[in-house]
Amino acid sequence: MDALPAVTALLADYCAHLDADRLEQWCELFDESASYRIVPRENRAQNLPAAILHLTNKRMITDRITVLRTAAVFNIHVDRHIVSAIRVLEADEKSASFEASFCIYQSDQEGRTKLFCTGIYEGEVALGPAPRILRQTAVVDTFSIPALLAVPI
Amino acid sequence: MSAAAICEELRTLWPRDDYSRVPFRFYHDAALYREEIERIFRGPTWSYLCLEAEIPAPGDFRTTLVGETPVVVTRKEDGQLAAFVNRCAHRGAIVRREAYGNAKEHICVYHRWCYAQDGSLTGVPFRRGVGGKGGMPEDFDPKANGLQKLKVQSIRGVVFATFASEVEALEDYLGPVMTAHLERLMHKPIRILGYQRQTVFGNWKLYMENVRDSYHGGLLHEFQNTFGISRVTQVGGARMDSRHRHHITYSSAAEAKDGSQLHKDAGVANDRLQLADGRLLEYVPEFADGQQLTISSVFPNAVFQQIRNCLATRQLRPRGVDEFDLVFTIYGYADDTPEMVELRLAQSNMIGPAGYISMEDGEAIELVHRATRGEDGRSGLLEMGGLGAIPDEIKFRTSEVSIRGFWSYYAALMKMEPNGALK
Repeated sequence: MDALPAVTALLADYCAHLDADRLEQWCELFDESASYRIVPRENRAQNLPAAILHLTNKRMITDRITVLRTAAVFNIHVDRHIVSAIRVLEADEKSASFEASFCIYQSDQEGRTKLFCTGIYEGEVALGPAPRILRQTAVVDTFSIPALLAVPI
Repeated sequence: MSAAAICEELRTLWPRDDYSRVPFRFYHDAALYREEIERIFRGPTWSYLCLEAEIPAPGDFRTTLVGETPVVVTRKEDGQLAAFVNRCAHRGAIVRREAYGNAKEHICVYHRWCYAQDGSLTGVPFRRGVGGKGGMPEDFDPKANGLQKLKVQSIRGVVFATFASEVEALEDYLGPVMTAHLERLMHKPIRILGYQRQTVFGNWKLYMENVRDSYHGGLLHEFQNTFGISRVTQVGGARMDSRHRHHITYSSAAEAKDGSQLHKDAGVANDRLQLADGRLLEYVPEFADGQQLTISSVFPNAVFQQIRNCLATRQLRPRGVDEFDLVFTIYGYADDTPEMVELRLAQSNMIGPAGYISMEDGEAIELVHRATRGEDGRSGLLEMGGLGAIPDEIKFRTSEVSIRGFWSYYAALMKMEPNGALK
C-alpha cells in the first residue's frame, strides 16, 4: 500500500507541534512502546551505542517534556523544522519504516536565526486511522551541538 | 604589545590577592588568549588526549587537539603510544585528515611526504629529483624534519601528552589525590560506549570554573536538586592538590541537613517534578567508597565524571577566545551485562548538551560571556566558602574556593600573579 501520505502527514504534525511549542501534543504522536533517540553520526559510524538522548518508552519521552516544562533552564528560542526527501522504505498493512532529511533553524528573541542542526530521521510508524510513531531516531550530522539541545528535534 | 607585556599589564588588574575577584577582561582579551595557548596548552602541563581503549590495536589512531594545535595520538606496532603534531613538516598541511582509523604510516596529501607511526619522516617523493635534475639539497636531513613529537604518558589507560621537554612526570603532575581518583575510575578494563559533543559560545575558562563550582549544582540544575543528585546540603566537599591545579568534588546521597526544606527556603522548588520512568535515577553500587557523584578536573583540559553509573571523560578544546568544544567520551566496563550497558545509556540522558543535569551549563556560560564583554573595569565575585587562604580540602558544598584555586595556578603559570598572591 502507499504509506507515504500517512508518513508525510504524521511528520508534518510532528514538526508543527515542536515548532509551536505544543510539546505535550508532540508526545501523543508516540505509541506506548515507542523509542526516541538522537544519535551523533560519529557514534553510528563507529557502531557505538551511546546517544545524545536515549528514551526507550513513551514514559521517558513524556518525562523529557515534564523536565523542560518544570525544571530545566535553556535558551529562549523558536525552532523551525524543514523536512524533505521523505522516503518509505518498507510498508505493510500495519506499519511503515521511513527516512527523511531534516534541518532545524533556531531563532532568538532578537529575531536572529542560526542553522541549529541537520540530519536524517529514521523511523517507523504504526498505520491505521490515527498513525503513531513506533520508533524515531534522529541521526544528527551536526553532532557538536551548538550550546545545548533542550527541546526535542 | 609583546607577549610578556600583556600578562604584565593584566597582572595589575586583580582587585585582590586571593582571587576572590576575577576581572571580566580575562574572559575576552584576545592577546591574553594567544598567550594562554602558549604558556598553558603548549607549556609545562599535561593535556588529556584520549583513553587507550579508543586505540586498542597497533596502528589505531585518533586526531585531536591540544589547545588549538592539531595532534595525532596513535599506538605503534610495538604497542607503545605516540603523539605528534598533525602538521606536515614541509608546507604545514594537516597530515592525517580522518577523525580516527588504523594506519602503518601517515602520508600528507599535498606532496606525499610520508611519516612513520611515531611521526618520523620516512619518505620525500623525488628527493633525488628526476633524471638528475631538481630534488632536495644533498644535506637535507629527514631526521631533522619529522613531525613535532609530544611526550605521551598513560595512567590506567588515560592518555596525556605534553609539549614541554622539561616537565615533571605525569603522576607527579597529577599528584596522589588525582592519581588515586583515576585509579578508582579505571579499576578494571573499560569499554567505550560513544561520544557526545557540544560547542559552547563562551571563554574556555568559564567552563573550568563551572566544573569546580559546587555552589551552583542544586540551584541552576533543579533536576539535580529534586532527585538529590547534587545538593549543596549533601555530605560532600572538594579536594585539590597542593598547587590547586586539579580538583575533585564529591557527594554521597546522605544529607547534612534537610535538603528539601533548605532548598525550598532558598527559593528552589524540588517537589514539583516527578518522573514517570525513574530508571535513570537507579544506582548500582560499583565503587567501594559509596560516593555516587564525583566530578574532577585536571588542568588544563580534562574532566572525569561519575554521576551514579554514568561514566565519562570530557575533553575541552578552546576555539578562540569566545568559543570552545567539549567532547564527552562515555564508557562502561568491559564486563558490563547488557542490562548494565542499558542503565548507563539511560543515565547518559543526564549528561552532555541535552543532559538533565548539564544542559543549563551551556546557557549559564553563554549568559556570563555575553554580558561581560567590554566590561574591562569590572570583576566577578567569588566569596562563597570564605576569603583569604585557599585550603586543599573543603568539607562543604556551598563553596567557590576551588575556583579561586584554579585562578591561583593559572596566574602562576601565566606569570600574572598579583603582588603578594596567595597560592
